[in-house]
Amino acid sequence: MSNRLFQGIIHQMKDAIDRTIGVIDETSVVIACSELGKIGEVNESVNSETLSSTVPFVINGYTYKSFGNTAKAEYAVFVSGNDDYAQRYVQLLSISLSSIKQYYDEKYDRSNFIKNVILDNILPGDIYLKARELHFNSEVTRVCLLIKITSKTDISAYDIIQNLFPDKTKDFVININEMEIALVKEIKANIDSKDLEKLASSIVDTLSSEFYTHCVVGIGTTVTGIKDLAKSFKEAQVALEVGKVFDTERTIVSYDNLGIARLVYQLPTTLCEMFLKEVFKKGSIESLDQETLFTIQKFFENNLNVSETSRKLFVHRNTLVYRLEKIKKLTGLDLREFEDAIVFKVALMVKKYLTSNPTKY
Amino acid sequence: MANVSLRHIYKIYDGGVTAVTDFNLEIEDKEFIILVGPSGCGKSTTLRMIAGLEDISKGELYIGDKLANDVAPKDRDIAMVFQNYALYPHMTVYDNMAFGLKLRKTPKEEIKRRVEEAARILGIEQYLDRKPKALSGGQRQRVALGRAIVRDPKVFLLDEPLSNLDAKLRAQMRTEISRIYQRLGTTFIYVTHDQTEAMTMGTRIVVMKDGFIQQVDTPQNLYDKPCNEFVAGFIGSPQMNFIDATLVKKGSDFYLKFDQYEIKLPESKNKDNVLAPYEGKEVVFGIRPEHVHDEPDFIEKIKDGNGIVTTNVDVTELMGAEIYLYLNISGVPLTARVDPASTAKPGDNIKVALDLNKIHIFDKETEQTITN
Repeated sequence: MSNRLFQGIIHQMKDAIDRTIGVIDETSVVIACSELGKIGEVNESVNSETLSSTVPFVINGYTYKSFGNTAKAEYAVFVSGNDDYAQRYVQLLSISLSSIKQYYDEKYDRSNFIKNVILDNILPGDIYLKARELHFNSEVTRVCLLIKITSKTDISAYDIIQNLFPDKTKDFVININEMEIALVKEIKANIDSKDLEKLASSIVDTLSSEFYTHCVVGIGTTVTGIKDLAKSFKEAQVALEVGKVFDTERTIVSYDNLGIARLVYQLPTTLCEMFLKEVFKKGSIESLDQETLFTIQKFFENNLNVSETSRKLFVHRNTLVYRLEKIKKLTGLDLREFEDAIVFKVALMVKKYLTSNPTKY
Repeated sequence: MANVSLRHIYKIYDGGVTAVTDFNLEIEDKEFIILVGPSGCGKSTTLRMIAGLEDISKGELYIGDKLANDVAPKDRDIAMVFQNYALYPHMTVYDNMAFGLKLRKTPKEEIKRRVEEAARILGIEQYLDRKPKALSGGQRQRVALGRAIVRDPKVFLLDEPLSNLDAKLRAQMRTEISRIYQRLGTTFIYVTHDQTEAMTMGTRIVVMKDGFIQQVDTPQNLYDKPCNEFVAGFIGSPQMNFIDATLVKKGSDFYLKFDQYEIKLPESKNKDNVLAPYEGKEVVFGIRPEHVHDEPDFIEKIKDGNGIVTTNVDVTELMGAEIYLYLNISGVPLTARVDPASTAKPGDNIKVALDLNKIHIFDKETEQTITN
């Protein structure tokens, strides 16, 4: 990875320095050079001993200067010539390349670190040590969003999200797997949940409008401190899973706003089965056909109002009353009664939950 | 050709929620069609089905002559602009507009040509080197439009693109989008919940409610001849006044009876004897605020005082070129849009005249229009 990084810089600098410039590694191989043909050549006259020099040195008409992050230099930059200018150039280049390497390593480490934190791949005690080592601000508020791509695409959604949140010191975009991308974003401490949903909408809208890619986003709760990021990530996963079962039409599901679904999702399946048996003593829920279930759903949507529901369904009021009576006969539940209606509503959710068999986090 | 044809389209989600029911619409090439309705009426879902971002549960979608139900979104030759657009903050305006094309490996020269052309259409040539941070809300919105224009699509889909702008900017951008439409000469399908946007921009408007199309017509026809109470109330601001009344017949004339009043209806309201089935029944009559008059000249001209009612003034709102009077007839609210010369003050009892040629009568049960 460093080779490409160095070659990029050398390539940009070759016009400014009208000489051959390049970098060799500790095995004496030229890993970047303004003359592309030299890349891969082994310069045996430079060895690990000469690399340990802290001042510029000249070998075979080239001036060298070692650099690296550790006590032992890993690389040396070279410039053709042995005059004063060559000396200055190598010094400047070594400072520049060393800083870039350090920045790059740190960035790579920070992103990896966050990935390990959210995936619980790091011991709690190590989180603080590593955070300090990487100069990570532990006191800021962050949130974890999980973006799940639901349609096949030939465009890298990761690249797009990375470009939407380019501030690599504050925001981290992490590839979880082929279809899931996590975004860990630094936010204001008292951010409103509506603003978070707007943020998620901007991701959904950009992916769909610019790249025809459909996605759903789960939002975890906001957390302060790095350790809790794992919690926020799990919540985002739960939000997506619960949304998949109960809110199939929504593209953004916030863990803060799961409603009764949150309770149902936590229930053990045996308990759910018992509940369904108890509610549908007289007849199974399967005995209700699609049309009846649709009627029930519309009846709930219209606040158990018979006239309003019949109008929405384009049926006569008496037809609806007949259907409700039929449901009562089949299930023993009179949906016009609030108590029975709420039992039925929860039972429908439990049924959905059992049928979909969601992943538990 | 970019005509879009939606035939008996349904959207039913896995959970059984029906978002769109039996949606039928023929959109002509180069038409600016608006889908309007309250939140949750299925307008965005319909747009997303056209875009291919939502599967069509039932029905057929044709773009041009091609059945597009199973065509991938990228192959539909459409471009979309959504409400919560996001620009890439570290890229210049040029790069923001070019990014999508770059990812699709469009040749550099072609990208340059398209971006410059879009920038010219949008009038943002001078901002191409700027970053989004240095742009105003309206300019950012134009960049978002530019990202769609560079794709040179057959059909533009816009989903509430102005919702995040303030009122002044929204008005400006309305004109801007209409201008862009004129210049591009492409089919535009535009979703909004704002009836002002719908009325001012569209060549035709589709009013939706609860997943059903209520009416498809030109802005003027929707305003003058609403097909039901919902459309009548949704289109127009302030909205139409609705008053419960009983339809009675005396001789060959029909009267609306409400409160202490009996108003004789003009013969034009009973074409083809449409009122006959409602004799003695409860109906709802509607009248737009601009057809409630308090000008003495207008009131004096009315014979027999037919259509003149006494009201109490609750609130007055001076809008500059007009005044909104919020009145009540024995507790039944009535809004009037009158001349700024009006001297009515809160607490006054004033006489107002209803322009009977302009009233609409609706079936109280079905809410459908009986006569316009």
